Amino acid sequence: MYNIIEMGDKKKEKLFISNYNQYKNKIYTYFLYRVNFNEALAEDLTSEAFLKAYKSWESFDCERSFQSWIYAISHNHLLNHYRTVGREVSTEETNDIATEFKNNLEASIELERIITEIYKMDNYCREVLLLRFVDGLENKEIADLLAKDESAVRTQMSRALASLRDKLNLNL
Amino acid sequence: MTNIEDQLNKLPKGRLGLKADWRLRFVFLRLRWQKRFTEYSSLLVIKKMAPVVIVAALLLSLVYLPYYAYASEGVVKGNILYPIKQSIEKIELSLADTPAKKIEVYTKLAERRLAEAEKLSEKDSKTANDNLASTIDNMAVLTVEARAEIENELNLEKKGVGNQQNCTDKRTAIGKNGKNC
Repeated sequence: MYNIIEMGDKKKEKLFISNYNQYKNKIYTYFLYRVNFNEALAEDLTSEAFLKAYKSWESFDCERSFQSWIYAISHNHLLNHYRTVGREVSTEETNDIATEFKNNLEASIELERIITEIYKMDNYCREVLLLRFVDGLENKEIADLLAKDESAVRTQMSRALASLRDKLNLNL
Repeated sequence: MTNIEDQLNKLPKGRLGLKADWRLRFVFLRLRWQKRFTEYSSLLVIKKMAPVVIVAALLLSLVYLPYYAYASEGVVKGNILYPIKQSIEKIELSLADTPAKKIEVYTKLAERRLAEAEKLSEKDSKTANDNLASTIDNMAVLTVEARAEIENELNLEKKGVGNQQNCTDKRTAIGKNGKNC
């Protein structure tokens, strides 16, 4: 485990850039799936989140993993963004989102169906599924990020998967 | 792992555009240089200004302290600046080249001692009384010195007049004998 305070400026900078290289696409994907696949907006939000991280890099708690930290910053930044522009997605909009998704990420028709169903779910279910399968976070990390209990996240995940399975009529 | 989970894992991931990536890297670089420049410039200002401030303070103290010591009536015997005041007065006295000026300076100094004595008499402490006695002694010494100086000057003048007289007599004689004075 490294200690940020004892590190020299150059090393700190190098470590941040190395983390940035590792997580830039993950954070971009995180925003992309949450701003209706608007690429320009996702890029802006990614830049802003990393800038926030860069500015508070001195106060980074070395006991924490960088992934948890940058996701927490991104999550808070996204909430601020929602507060500013409004979040609600109507059912009509869901189809547009799926089209955007298909065009921007060159996804298959099957995946388009999945994403359409995911966007029809409530926020909590959708968030749990996206964080687990798109962002690749562990249940504990998801629980920390959403300020929920780990077991509650696990239960919610099972329910969301079952619901999705029913909707898509997929077999086990 | 179930089929639905397999499908979910296949959900495509985004890639941050090259333009946005470089723009952000440039911002990091700019912020880093800005931070370094701020640190460096503030250090530079402190480093550059420190000698100027020290020299200015020294110059000010070198000019102002003697001036204050000399001009202030509050600087009396027992004050830390009193030796400076005495030194300046000695210089002033030595600079007076004519008897009239010397008398003027002695008078001024005697007046100053008198003013100091008045100041000291306002204080009640033993040290103040001792200093008062010393100042009055000093004034007496000044008066004696002034008198001696005046007498000396007067004698010199008399001698000068006598010599001049002698010289005139001698010149008259030279005129007669053909010798210079």
